[in-house]
Amino acid sequence: MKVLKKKWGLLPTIVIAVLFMTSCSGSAPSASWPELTVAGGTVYAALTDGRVHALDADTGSEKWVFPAEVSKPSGLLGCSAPKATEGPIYAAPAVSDDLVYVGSYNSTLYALNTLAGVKQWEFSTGDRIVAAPVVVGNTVYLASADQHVYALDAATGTERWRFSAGNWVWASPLVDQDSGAMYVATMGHKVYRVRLSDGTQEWEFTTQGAIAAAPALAGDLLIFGSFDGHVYAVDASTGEERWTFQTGGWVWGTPLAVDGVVYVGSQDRKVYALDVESGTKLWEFQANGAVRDTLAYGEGTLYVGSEDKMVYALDAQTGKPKWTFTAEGSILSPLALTEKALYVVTTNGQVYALDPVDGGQLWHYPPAEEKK
Amino acid sequence: MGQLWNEFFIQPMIYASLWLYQLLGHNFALAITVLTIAVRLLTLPLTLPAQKSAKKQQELQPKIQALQKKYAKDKERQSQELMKLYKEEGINPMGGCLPLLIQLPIIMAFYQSIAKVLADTPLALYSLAGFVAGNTAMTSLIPLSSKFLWLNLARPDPRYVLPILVVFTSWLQQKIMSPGASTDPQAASMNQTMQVTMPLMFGFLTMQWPSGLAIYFVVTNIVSIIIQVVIDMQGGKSFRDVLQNLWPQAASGKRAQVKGRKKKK
Repeated sequence: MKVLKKKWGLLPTIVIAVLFMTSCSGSAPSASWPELTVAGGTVYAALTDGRVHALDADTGSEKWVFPAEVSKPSGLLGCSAPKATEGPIYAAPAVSDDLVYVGSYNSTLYALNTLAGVKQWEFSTGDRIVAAPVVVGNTVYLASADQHVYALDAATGTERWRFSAGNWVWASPLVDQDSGAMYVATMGHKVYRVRLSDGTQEWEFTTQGAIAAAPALAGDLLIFGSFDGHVYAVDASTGEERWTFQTGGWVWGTPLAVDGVVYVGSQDRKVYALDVESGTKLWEFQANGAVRDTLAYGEGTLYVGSEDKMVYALDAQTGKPKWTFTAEGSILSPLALTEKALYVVTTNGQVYALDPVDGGQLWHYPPAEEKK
Repeated sequence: MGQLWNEFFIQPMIYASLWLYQLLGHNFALAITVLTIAVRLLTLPLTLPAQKSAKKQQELQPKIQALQKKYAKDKERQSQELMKLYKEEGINPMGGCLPLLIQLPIIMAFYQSIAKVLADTPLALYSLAGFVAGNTAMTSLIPLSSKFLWLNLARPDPRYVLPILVVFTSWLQQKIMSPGASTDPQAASMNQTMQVTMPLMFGFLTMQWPSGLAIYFVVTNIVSIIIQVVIDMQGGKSFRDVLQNLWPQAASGKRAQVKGRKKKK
């Protein structure tokens, strides 16, 4: 009887262990920041549910979602995570012709047709995809945390060549067809210039911090920011440093070069306007939150999204605010600007279309009733 | 409050772990191990009284139970007599709690800082920026090299070696620190259940957590075990006695066998 009592004493242990093992195995997908792209009258938004939502750019009405079905939670307690693309999405979709390319954190690039979001092909890399794919001509350039940049056939996903960067690549490669070169920034503090035809390295430039966003080209200058807080301008053909500018925080965004001015955001909560030739500061704007990769330019206005949930429309000449808009969540992802609207996505998966002139809200997704 | 917590607890821990990472040849597993040992040694003045007090109470169990039995019907008298006993033996029944409460934030901050430094997702790295962005030397170390043996320290152990080690060391630690076999069968059963449940739970959680955190758990368990063995040995026990305490039934069974053989002779 005593032995039996002792054994019953272990029963709760066994029950708890079994429930845990059968119900909650597998880690839940981690959060991400949503990203969006606008092309051909459609907003392709990769949201926090790990799915791509294709929305009408004029009305915000949903056209399709990939994947259409989310698998139901499994396990006795139902606590294993629902599966979408099998992982969150950090990368903005890329669109070319009739295909939309989506890199998922589950290491896979999906090519979907733009009409219905039906998968045409997929390509697996060795690690997570954080960078947006880049489509130039009939080639998709895909960076992966497996330390490679892949050149894939855009129609079939067949690998043409790969470049080994020696560290995680979280930034989209910058492809310059005119010079036949690709620029690859890595978390290993380096920027490489790579020959586009075969993936051969031409030069490398080292900073004191990781580089997590794509460089920008301004004439013969390659401009990029680093976690060491600096904005660097180097000669695009030789890799020689021309100037640097120090900010007070990590620079985690692609600089925007327009009409001789470089605009760059920093995690020190500031946006800087720099002279492209010398790196001299022209003006700065102080937001209430960090500014990541969230700049857009149009018609003399610089649009800035911030961690403080605000969208600021600034006079590009002076940095003076024209209007502001308050969203429901932090803005860490690039803004998309068309002639009709400024599209903004927040970290909690809200998509807004704003009037670029006055910041008036044109539509919002998901609609109010769906949010409930 | 959150800002104070980050400034006074998390940030120093993050800096310490990054400094050790740099010092130890960019090996974060080693940095976690050294920092865990350092934190446990630094908090020793806080943990030691608690562990000693618990051990003394454990030794007094027969007397406590006798008093509880004697004054079972008079609760007021029972607590008076218990307090008297504690006073005579120089034990503060709450004495073990305060030091443990004081060291809790340190342990929590250490745990959180490891999780933050091991950031390998963009969002986690973004959050880390708030702690190290102003320090160029620290920023230059990011992202950390999280490879160690077969492990990616930022992700769970794919071979389940660390979860098994966490279960074993947690069980051993509980076993070595828990009171000896209680005379109350209900308490004994509860004790036994806890000794199995808790390590299993830790093991399960480790299966989901970054393996860097699992290394922290294993090292901290081993340090606790060593400290307890040293305390026991300072109290006059031999190492053999300590081991026998772990498996009293096996030890008593052996003794019974020996006695049986002697009787036969």
